[in-house]
Amino acid sequence: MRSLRASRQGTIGLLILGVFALIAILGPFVVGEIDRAGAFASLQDPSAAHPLGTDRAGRDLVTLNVHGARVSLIVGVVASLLSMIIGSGVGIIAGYLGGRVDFALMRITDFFYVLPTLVLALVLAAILGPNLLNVIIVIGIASWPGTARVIRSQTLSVRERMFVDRARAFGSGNARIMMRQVLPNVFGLVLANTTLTIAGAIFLETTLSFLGVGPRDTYSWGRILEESFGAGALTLGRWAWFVPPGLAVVLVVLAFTMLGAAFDEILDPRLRSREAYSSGPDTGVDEAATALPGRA
Amino acid sequence: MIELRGVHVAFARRRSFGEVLRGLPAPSVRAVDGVDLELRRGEIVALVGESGSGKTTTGRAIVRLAPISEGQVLMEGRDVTAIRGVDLRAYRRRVQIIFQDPYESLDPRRSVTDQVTEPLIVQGIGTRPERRERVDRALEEAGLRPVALYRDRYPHELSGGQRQRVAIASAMVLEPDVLVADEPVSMLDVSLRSGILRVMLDLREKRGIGILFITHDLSLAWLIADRIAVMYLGRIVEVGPAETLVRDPRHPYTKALLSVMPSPDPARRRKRAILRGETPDPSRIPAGCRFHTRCPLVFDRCRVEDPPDFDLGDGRRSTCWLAEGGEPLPDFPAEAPRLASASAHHASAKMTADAASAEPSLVEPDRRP
Amino acid sequence: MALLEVRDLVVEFDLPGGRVRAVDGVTFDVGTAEAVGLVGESGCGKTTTALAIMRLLPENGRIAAGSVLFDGEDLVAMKPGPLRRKRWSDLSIIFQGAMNALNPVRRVGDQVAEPILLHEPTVTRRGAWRRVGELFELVGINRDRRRDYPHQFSGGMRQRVMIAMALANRPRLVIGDEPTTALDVMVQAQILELLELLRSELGLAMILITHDLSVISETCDRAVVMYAGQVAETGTVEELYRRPLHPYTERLMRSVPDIGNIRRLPAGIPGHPPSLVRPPSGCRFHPRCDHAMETCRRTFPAERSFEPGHRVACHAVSDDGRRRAPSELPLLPSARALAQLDPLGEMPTLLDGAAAGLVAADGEIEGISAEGPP
Repeated sequence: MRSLRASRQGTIGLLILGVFALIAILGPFVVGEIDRAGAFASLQDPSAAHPLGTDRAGRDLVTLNVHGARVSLIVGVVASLLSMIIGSGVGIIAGYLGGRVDFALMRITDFFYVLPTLVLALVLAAILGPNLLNVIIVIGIASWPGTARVIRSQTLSVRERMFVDRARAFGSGNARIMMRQVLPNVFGLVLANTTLTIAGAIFLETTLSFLGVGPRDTYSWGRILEESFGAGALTLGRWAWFVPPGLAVVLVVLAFTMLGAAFDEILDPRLRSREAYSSGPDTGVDEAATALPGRA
Repeated sequence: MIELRGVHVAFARRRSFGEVLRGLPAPSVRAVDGVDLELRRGEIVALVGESGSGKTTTGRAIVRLAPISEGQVLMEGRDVTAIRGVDLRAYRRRVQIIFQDPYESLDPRRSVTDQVTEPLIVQGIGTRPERRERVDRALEEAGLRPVALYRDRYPHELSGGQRQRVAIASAMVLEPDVLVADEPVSMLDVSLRSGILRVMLDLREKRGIGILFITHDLSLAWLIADRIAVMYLGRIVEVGPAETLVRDPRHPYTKALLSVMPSPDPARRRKRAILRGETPDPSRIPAGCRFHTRCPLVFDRCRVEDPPDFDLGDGRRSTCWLAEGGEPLPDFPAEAPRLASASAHHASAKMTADAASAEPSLVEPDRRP
Repeated sequence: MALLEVRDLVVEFDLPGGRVRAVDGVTFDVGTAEAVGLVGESGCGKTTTALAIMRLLPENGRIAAGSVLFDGEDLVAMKPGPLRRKRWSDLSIIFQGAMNALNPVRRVGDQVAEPILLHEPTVTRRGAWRRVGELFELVGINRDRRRDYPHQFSGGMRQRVMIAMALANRPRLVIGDEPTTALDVMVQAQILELLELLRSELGLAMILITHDLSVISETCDRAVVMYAGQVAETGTVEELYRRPLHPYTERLMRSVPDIGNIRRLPAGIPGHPPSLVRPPSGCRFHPRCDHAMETCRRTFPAERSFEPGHRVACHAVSDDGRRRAPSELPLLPSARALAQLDPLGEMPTLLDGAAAGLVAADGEIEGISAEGPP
């Protein structure tokens, strides 16, 4: 996994995320709590005291954005974790057990899969109420089917491998095989998939907030964007208000995407070709030359 | 100790679209089509056959990795064909399997120790220190010495021969009574094979296990086995003590296999009885004697009646009408030379009609479905 | 002058681990209508040699030195244009794993016709199709099957398709890279018989690459035994079988079970083939050799010729063409240990219940640090 650094994409992605993670974790301590409404004069232009100016309610925008980092990232990561756990679970179980279980689980998955994500999110947000927790749940529910499908197909191929047969041969039960044989071997894919899911989740949260159904109890980048547009920042040209959060979202989503792509690069061809290459610890160059599985 | 009686393993093949449209039922692939076999304690029986013969499926059926559609598998007299749950697990402790591909049969993500310990954990054997000891012992017996060097290695750090030894260790750590070895050395370099074979012979010596050695290589079977069983299209066509079977085959297929066996001695480019065509698809087994379509000694009865197993005494059996009388097989008829059209092709720029209509050299095997 | 003359061929690869010499000074000849076997275990460089001869090395490989003379012309020095013309019409190759090398979505007839149409622009589609029919008959496939797809053929039949493809432009030399691996023994016999017939009827020269000695002795006149990228020994198959000079050759010969001989577990060779990134010093076989001396560790033995056409690179071979026994040589400690394990030149067999405790893993002898894999 250190070979992540070898990938240019991976390194850049990691760097960007590192910066934002730092902002999200340490930032709030630096800038302090979100100011009360009216703490400062509203709609100020950027100045030394307020590098990004203030919003309509007189809050410092830098503070808002820093807190926004935390919220957006938390939502993204937690929602994805939820989605990954549900999705992997369903995917592995359906893929390994097959038959009726597979059929049933996949139809449920399909059901959620075809629902338009945004509409689903809107409806659920409207029903459950617009707070942070609910938004996380909503996003999790909307995202898991994608993961489930991908994991299931990987499970299907892992299931056929000889070492799984071997595990059955000495008496492993299904549950054990799923945990100890299948899971570790689909985990790489899960990881790669999760980074992409996080990107999607952050984007989805931003969209929801922008549409007004995001978390109302905290400030995320999306909410900043919503308020700025609501106040006509676009037409007024108050770029310091809406550009930073928008840019931040783009950068973070980009970073996760790059990371996901880097994972793909690393995991798939290298692993597959490593197994095709290896005839043991010595480099069988004959095998390398023909790029087909060689003999021991 | 282990006995197979009339074991059948049949799979339903997926129908092609055309077959679905025509309302044809799913054809059944009779991978194992009535197999009787015994394996005694301390005995090595080789199951020999080409691809499509059903030998691997038979091995898998013994360890319950393949579904048995008919017949019985008996272990020390008890019927284990349909046992499940706890009974199955107990059975699995006594009957183990090693697979053909040393690369694939190990989990790439777990260490050697992990993988050899796992069977013990699954079967609930021993405490942690006891398990460590058993694992070390199993690794040593498989020839991975010094053990310390191999314990924490991962499969990709080992050579094929070493991986296969790990597989053997993980099977033997349970101290089974029976080992099914499915082509254990066919993917290894020739010089590494003896090592693995030696380990298996060792295990037989020291622990008295019975080994079912599945292979397509008759010379390997001859080397290591006490008895050899030859399979063709899901049936055992001949079985007997290794030496006698090789010296005096009583089934034409065995005889043909023996004659085409490659030998390193160039002086032995003997007359080879090369059968025409290829083994028919197991979903379309010929009527009568299943071998009759390729048999050099075929006669009328063979095309119509499926021969039973004839007992020839001394533990020998043959499923061939010619074996009925207990006599050795006659010689195969001489072969006519082929490729009448060859010189015409290269010598002239275009093919003449005569040359084109020359007897094609081989009988076309069934098309793949 | 032989049809094909390979002289001091060196092939290098750029791998993540470093630069590797997969082939390090290989020399051999192939005469017209002669079948020469290239034999050795995995990683010895035989496939690479074949690819180098055809100039089909992958991106990260190159011919670093040496020459390949076909009919007097050096293929190594040739420009891409003339080379492409030579390829397939004079020399062709049947790749390893050929059965998977067919395009699954095209008819086999079209695939076999392709090189014909490429190399002979005057031939029409019909003419090419007709030729494909002839080729199929030649290799034993019904001509009606030209319109079939690869998945409709069995392994053996697909191999015949590959052979037909290799013969499409009437080459003078065909290289078969593991032509019978993964085939059933009966099908293997069929294919080998086919190759032999093609050779005698068409006057084809052949290079057969395989790890299987018995294939070589079945079909070839002469063989080149390779080890770790170099040639250990060259000679007729009879000589190699009856009078192998190089210890590796002898060990290899005795690793193959031989029905009809005494029923005895083959000896095998202790250790593994070495890594080519850091090969052993001097003679590359010395860590596994029971004839190894100090000089074997220090210098690579020069190739010497003995009658008839028998060449070997080994220090233990005396000038009059005899391999000296281990007892006559100042052995290295590792060699002494190996010789001890194997007093009769064969490892003790357990079929007779003889002692087995001597031999360790893969023949890894305790107390020896085998070079190569950790």
